[in-house]
Amino acid sequence: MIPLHHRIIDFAPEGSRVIDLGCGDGQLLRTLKENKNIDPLGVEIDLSRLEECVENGVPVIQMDIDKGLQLFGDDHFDLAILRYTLSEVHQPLVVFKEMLRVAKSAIIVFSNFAHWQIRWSLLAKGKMPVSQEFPHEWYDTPNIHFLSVEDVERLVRNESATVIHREFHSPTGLERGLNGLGFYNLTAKTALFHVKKN
Amino acid sequence: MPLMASQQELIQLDFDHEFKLGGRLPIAEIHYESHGTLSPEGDNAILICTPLTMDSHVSGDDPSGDPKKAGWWNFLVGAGLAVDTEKHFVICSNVLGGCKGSSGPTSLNPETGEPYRTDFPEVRVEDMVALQKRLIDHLGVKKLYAVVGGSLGGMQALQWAVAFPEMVERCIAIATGSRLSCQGLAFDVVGRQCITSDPNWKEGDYPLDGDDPVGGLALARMIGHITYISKNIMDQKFGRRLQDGQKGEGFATQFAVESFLKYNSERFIQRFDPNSYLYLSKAMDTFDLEEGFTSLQDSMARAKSKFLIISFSSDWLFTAEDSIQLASCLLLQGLPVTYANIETELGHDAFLVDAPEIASMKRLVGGFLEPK
Repeated sequence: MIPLHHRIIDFAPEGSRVIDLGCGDGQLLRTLKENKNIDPLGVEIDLSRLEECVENGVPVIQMDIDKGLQLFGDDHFDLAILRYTLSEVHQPLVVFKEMLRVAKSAIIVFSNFAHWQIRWSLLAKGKMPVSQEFPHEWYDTPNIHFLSVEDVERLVRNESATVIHREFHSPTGLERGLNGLGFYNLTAKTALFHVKKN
Repeated sequence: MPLMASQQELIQLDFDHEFKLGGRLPIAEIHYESHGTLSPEGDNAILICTPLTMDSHVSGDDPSGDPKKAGWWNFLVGAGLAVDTEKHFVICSNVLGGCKGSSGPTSLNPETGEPYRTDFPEVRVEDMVALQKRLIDHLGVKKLYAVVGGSLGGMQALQWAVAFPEMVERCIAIATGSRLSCQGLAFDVVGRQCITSDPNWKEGDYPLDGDDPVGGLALARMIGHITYISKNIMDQKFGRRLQDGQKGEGFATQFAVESFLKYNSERFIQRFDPNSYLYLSKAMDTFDLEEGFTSLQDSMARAKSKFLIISFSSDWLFTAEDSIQLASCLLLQGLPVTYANIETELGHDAFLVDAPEIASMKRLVGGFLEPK
């Protein structure tokens, strides 16, 4: 299970309408449907993932979220989900704004590129990090934007939105302790923000 | 009845139906093929709607083994396939206005003892669906598990979803749209004029076993065929090559593409009636889900089914945008919609071809009908 997934299930309101942007095989939406009786819709650009999604019984639209979400009306969904995708899209701002237009609230899950191990790798080795979380070399990575917890905080503030829940994941107890003390920009590996329009 | 029976039947039905543009048939004939067995609850039926010139033989190999005589969707419909005839009672009927057994211009008019020819009422997609509904009721189907169609068949599937929303659980519309574009209309207009300007057409009163306007029909088919395939596939398949043994002089058949179009149209005229072609082509052109509504959105508000909409990247008759527009209207209704655009060079006719990239269509249809 991907870290923090269970928290998405906790945050999704019972019986709500949920859109997952970049839904992959639709497993999360399927789980949400089975556990929270949500009305799911996936968005996926890759046809083979979309086929898996259909086989999971989840309706899905093939489209490029970078081009906006014109297909959907304002506040059509109760919740929009974007997992590990903000760093991969060409226009994170467009995607962020569109999410909050089509849904009443949004959950963003992202990797924190300001984690101390990444900082250390850059500082000590002078190299872009390659690790379990970031297995790609810089010249062959889907991640085209590098963002930290602090960066997403600023994006939310600048776009007149509010973070209503923050959740962090780190593998070690020490890091988790430090996350709790507010050092999460240094110690969180993964973050989940539940965001609402002001 | 044995399990998994496949059968073809021609039946007569009381068809108490006023055609959209007026006219009635005292009795309607419908020829259909079925596979599998209807469940006792009558809820496992899947209706396959035919594209412009296909008949009810949707699935099954020909006893002769001739692959050209196999069902036209043999790779999609059958035992263990995406539309699984082991699980579902699959029905495919010949369309109203066609010439393959169901009532149409070649049928005998009981009042005159002569074929109807152009006295047959003008047929619209709404009328085709009305007759299919009559058949479904007759067969004891309570609810359609799904209605599936490509191109003109897709239009029928969409019409089913808005005309009988309570009866259609799932609607699969492939390479289709709420209406044909102006460019599509233009090609069809020329196609019909090829037939009506053939001196043998005689206002539709040609003898059915003699000098019929096959020249006009062949031309209409050639024009149609050009719209069914993409520019790139034509370049790949034929390019500028000359047909074997041709020197490229004179006006007779020389280019490979010319020979291909001619060969296909010659086969086509042996199996199709010119008046029927006019009727069906006009039905396709006039279909417009927006008609009588303030917007497509308004019209699609009648639908209640789950939808699977598939387009093909190189289809210029019904583009991805046409499908997206449909999907958008249905999504705004809050209906569960799946939309996919399959990358292929095969053009509009892609849904009829068992090519490697069309495996996606099989997987989508199969997954949509029977999720894991």
